[in-house]
Amino acid sequence: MTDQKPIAAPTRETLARDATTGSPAPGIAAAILPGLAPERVGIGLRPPHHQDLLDTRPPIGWLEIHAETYMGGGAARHYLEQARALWPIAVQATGLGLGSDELPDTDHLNRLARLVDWLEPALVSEHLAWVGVDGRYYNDLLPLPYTSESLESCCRNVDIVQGRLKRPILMANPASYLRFRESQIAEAEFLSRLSQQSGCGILCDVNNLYVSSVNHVGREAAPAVAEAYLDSLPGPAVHQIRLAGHSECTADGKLMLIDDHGALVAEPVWRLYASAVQRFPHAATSLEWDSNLPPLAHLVAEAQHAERQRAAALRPSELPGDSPGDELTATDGDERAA
Amino acid sequence: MSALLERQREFAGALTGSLYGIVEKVIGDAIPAEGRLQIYADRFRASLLEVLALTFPVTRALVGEAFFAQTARAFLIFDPPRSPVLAQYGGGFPTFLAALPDLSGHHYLPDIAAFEWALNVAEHAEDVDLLRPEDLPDAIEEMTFTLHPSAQRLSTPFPVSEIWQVHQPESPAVERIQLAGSSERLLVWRRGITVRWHKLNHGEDRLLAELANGVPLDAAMQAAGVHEDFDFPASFSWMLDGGVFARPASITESAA
Repeated sequence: MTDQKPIAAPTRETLARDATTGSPAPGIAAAILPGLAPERVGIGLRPPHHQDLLDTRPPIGWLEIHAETYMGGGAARHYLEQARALWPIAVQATGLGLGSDELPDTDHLNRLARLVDWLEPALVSEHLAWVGVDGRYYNDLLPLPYTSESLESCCRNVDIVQGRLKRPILMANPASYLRFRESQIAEAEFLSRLSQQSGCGILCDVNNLYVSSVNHVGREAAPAVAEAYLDSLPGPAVHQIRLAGHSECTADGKLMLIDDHGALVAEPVWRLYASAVQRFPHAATSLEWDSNLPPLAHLVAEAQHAERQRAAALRPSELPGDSPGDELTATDGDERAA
Repeated sequence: MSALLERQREFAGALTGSLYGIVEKVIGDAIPAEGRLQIYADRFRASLLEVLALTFPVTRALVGEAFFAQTARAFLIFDPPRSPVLAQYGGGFPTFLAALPDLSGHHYLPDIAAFEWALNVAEHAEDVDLLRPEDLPDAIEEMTFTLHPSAQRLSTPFPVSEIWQVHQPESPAVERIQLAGSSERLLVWRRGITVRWHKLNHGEDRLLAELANGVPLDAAMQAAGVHEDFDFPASFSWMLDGGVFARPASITESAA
């Protein structure tokens, strides 16, 4: 296979704007934000959309991939190779489990490093979670107690990954369904200290934040708790905001939200997104779906809606009054917010 | 043992069915700790069931959704993933099926699953350069060959590729498939982005087995030649054209 760098197609030049606008953290921002214009929203790339994406070349800002989907060869790599010539790419890894007491798996870290070396993505992110123990993997982002002990092992693991990849990574807040009694540090504080001590950036997943808030304090108290969470994140360290949908279920007769990425972004999450954009105007935004995957055009329309929401949030006098449900039925693919 | 590691092990137990030690560590409120832990256990099972259903669609169609789900759930508790790359999950499923006492007449089911697993492995195998006709030296007798990393041989007493084929959406209706005396020797591999398979004759199967073991070509041909159906020029031609062989590192390096 060829190993050459992607040719910078004209689309890439026109899509990529000066990423240093806004107020990024000095130092690491320039290293981890090449080519991601914050006013353009990226979408999660999923294999069922590969062909359609390359055939239609929709007006999206960038693509975010799941690292684990592209660690082999064949069709997945083939399509990614074409896509990277057309759009900036960010890599989201889910398999390193940096919140574990154990060290990151060397084989898996090597697989990620090979992918990152080849792809030269704009961003690489992982999650504040663990995914396995004793050589078994559970295919989910599992919660850790927020203690000084787990902060120490998480810093150590982030250091190892950043050293291997020779670049800072972003750490994302997970969606969670429980809390541990022994936790002594609030999650936002945990992420702040992780960022301070390891030099990693923060990925603020506003859907995860809303899901966790509802699951921990209930629907009524959730928005205020989530806003306070945003307030306590170190703004300059937040380099990406992620949007997704969730579903509802009941546990023991009580409402729980499930982070399944299988629905339109919910209304309370859009409100949280507006707050996040105002606090972190330099951060890039991505939108992802995993289950009930809609046609690519629907995703593109929702991403464009996010671009308008973002622009409106930064013009406080013109707060958005449109409903995403109505707007997403429109197909005006060329309307831009920025 | 650190408290974090202890918590991870207790939590892993909760995912696979044991709540020992973990419930009292989790905050219970309007929703008790058990209910919260159950959400993770449900997600773990549902997500891996989906992975297995995607990798073994024909196996699933043959036994029906309910039986497949029940079997897959038992398997994923018995043998959770050993890698975070989910394309690598499910290699033990055919053997697990073979050990089930009640396959209710579907004796060929483990072999269908093995075929679907081979297709999955071929789909995700790494990309390598292919051996090209112009790479071959004048005297190829002493040459050893490297099979493409996607290449796998399967041998089965059942017509698995035929059964698989009739379960494809575009497949024409077939009234019945003759099970008796329909054994298959198959090569599954990937050319470019397309997964392929080929029914091998005895000679081809032997040739590829020998070559995969690093036996030089002339010795491999002699071994394969004991089978009457072996026709080396014809077999080698489709293998070379089909991208069954990888370009050896020695050639790739000297050409660079």
